[in-house]
Formats: sequence, C-alpha cells, structure tokens
Amino acid sequence: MNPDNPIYLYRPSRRNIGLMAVTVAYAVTGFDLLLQPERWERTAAYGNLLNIISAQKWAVLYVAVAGLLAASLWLHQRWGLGVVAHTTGIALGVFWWAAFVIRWLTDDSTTVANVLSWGIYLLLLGLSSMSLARKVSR
Amino acid sequence: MSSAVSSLYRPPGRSVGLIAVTIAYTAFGLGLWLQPDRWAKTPAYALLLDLLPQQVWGTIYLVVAALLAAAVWQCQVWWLAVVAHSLGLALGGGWWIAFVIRWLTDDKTTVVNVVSWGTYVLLLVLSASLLERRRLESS
Repeated sequence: MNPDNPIYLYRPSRRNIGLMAVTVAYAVTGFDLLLQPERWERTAAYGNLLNIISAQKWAVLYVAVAGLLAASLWLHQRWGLGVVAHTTGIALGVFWWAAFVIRWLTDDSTTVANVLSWGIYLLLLGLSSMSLARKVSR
Repeated sequence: MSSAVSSLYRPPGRSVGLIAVTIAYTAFGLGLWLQPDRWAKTPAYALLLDLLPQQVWGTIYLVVAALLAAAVWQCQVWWLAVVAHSLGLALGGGWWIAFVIRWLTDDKTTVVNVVSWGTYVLLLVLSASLLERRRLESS
C-alpha cells in the first residue's frame, strides 16, 4: 500500500450511509415534534421526556442536531464539525435511549421497540464516529 | 484496481447495516415471544396483531433474524444472502406499511415507528445493493 495514498475502510465521506440514515431519522423526528406536538403528548411512551422539556423544544434540538449532522456529511473534510455533530447526536440519542430503557424497565405496558430504535441510531453514530478517530491517527 | 475495490467494499454479508438489522429483528422476536402482553397493550401494534398473534410474529422475526445471521456468517453464499435480504425486506416493509397506514389514519400516533422501520428497510436495501455490486465485480 502506498503510504501517500492509503485506502481506509472507515473514512469521512458524503456516502456515510449510517450517518445519512440517522440524519434523516433525527430530522423527521424533529419536524414531527414541531408540527404535530399533540400526537407526542398523547402517547404515554414519551411522558418522561415531555415532562422535562416541551415537544417544541425537543423539536428544535432534533432539527438543530440533524442540521449539524447534515453539515458534517456535506463538509466531510472538516474534522471539528464532524466531532461536534457526532458528539451532540450521540448525547441526544443517549438521553432518549436512557429514558426508553428506564420506561421499559419500570412500565410493563411498554415494548422494547423504542429501546431498539434509538439503540440502532446510537450504533450507527458510534460506528460513523470511528471515521473521525482514524483521521486523527493518520 | 480490483484489490482497491475489494478493500473499499466489504462483503455485503458483513455490512454494518445488516448486522444492526439482525440484532433488531432478534430482539423483536424475543420480545414478542417473552413479553406478548406488552405488545398487546400498545395500540400502535393493533393492526399487526389483528393479522397474527404475537407468538407467530415472534417466530417469523426469529426465523428471518437467523437467516440474516447466517448470511452475515456465510457471507460468500450468494443465494443465502438473497433469500435473507428478500425475507428481511418483506417483513420490514410489511410492518412499515402498517405503521404508515396507522400514522395516516390515527391522530394519536407519532411518526417514530414509521421512521424506525423505515431505517431498517433502508439499511437492508443498502446492504442488498452491495450484494449486487459484489456480484458484478466477481463476474
């Protein structure tokens, strides 16, 4: 392998499928929270989270993080932007995932579906963040 | 050139998306088998549980997850990957359609399940596209 032109399995790219999937998921979640907050307020699964801050504020957070993730996809050579986007994306995802885990453990009318969904988003973000670590080690 | 291409595109059976969906389907199958009352109490799954009981859905999820896991393990067996991806897409697509119908017809439902199952279907479609790419490369 030529050290001046290495090939990386994990490298920052606009074709980062996992990051794209999470960006779309966060954007849709944010816009739905913003445009249809009553649906979220009527669903018991989100009671813990909407007790902390309102649906509109969560919406702003989701849309802002989705915007950062989209920007990090578009400007994929900007390492600092990638770090900020992944950090905020993982922080938001972990918070919601923890809330769903707590609810699943304490409420026997809740399924494991949301725990898994947010777990998959975190897995995809975690794997995407590996591309940033590889860039640092270069 | 061929070594560079094979380095960039891993075998589709080992794609991250496929592994993620395999884990999710396994957990759904186990959840449907071990905690069927939780699914029955959640209105979001009413359409699906009207069609088949939890245990039958649980068995279907576990069988498809086993096929997906086999496709990950035996990643060079092309027909196994095709069967696993097809069944995974059929199951995920079916549930996704049920959630879309419910979201459109029930104003108490959020978009969460639509997005979640849409993500699983997207990951399976992208994994399947790598499968086709690998076949083109090898021919």
